[in-house]
Amino acid sequence: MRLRETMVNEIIAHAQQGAPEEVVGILAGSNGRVEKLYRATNVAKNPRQQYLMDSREQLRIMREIESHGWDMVGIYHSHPESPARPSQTDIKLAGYPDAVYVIVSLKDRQKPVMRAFHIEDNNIREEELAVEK
Amino acid sequence: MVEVRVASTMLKLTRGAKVVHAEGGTVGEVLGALDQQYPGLQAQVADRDGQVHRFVNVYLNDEDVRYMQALSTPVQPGDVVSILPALAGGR
Repeated sequence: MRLRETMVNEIIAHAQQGAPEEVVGILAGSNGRVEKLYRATNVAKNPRQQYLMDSREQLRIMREIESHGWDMVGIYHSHPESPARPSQTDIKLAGYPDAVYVIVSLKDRQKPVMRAFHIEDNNIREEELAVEK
Repeated sequence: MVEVRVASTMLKLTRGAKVVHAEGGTVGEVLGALDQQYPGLQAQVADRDGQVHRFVNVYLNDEDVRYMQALSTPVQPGDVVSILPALAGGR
């Protein structure tokens, strides 16, 4: 997946602003390149340990993506205190095999880590993040 | 007839069809009718008591049915029901 450096910074900023709660958002674009980032609201009952995007926002964002002729190329969320790899819950609830799951870890507050994965049928495969200046 | 757009994770159940159609007076009845054609579809969406699974979103046109009458929400011919996995996870 390809995305601009400003978007990487935006995802990290969102995660830092939301900490200690998890944050979530959608990355829209085409052919694996992100054109737009959508922040969304985490409405999980326990947002420090879970993320659940507001369902109305999810539909609104997905419709907007469709109207631009884009795809939902990625879904990002933060792990405020755990590593940047999918948890068992992330794997179990991953419902979009065509999207890339981007995880930003703030475990080391001074050095956020971002990684990306495909998740399908309980299997994970790391995806390269190509950052464009 | 109501149009139902299914999640990509359900395409195995619908034999690859992204859009399917069924009759019914409510969202739940439409899903029940579809389950006759595609066994297992209803169980992916709701439990036996008719509660939509927490990590599945069912929309009637532009609204989440949780904000209406859930699966008892009436439907009209030409309505569109969309089934989308919630965007969810956790540590």
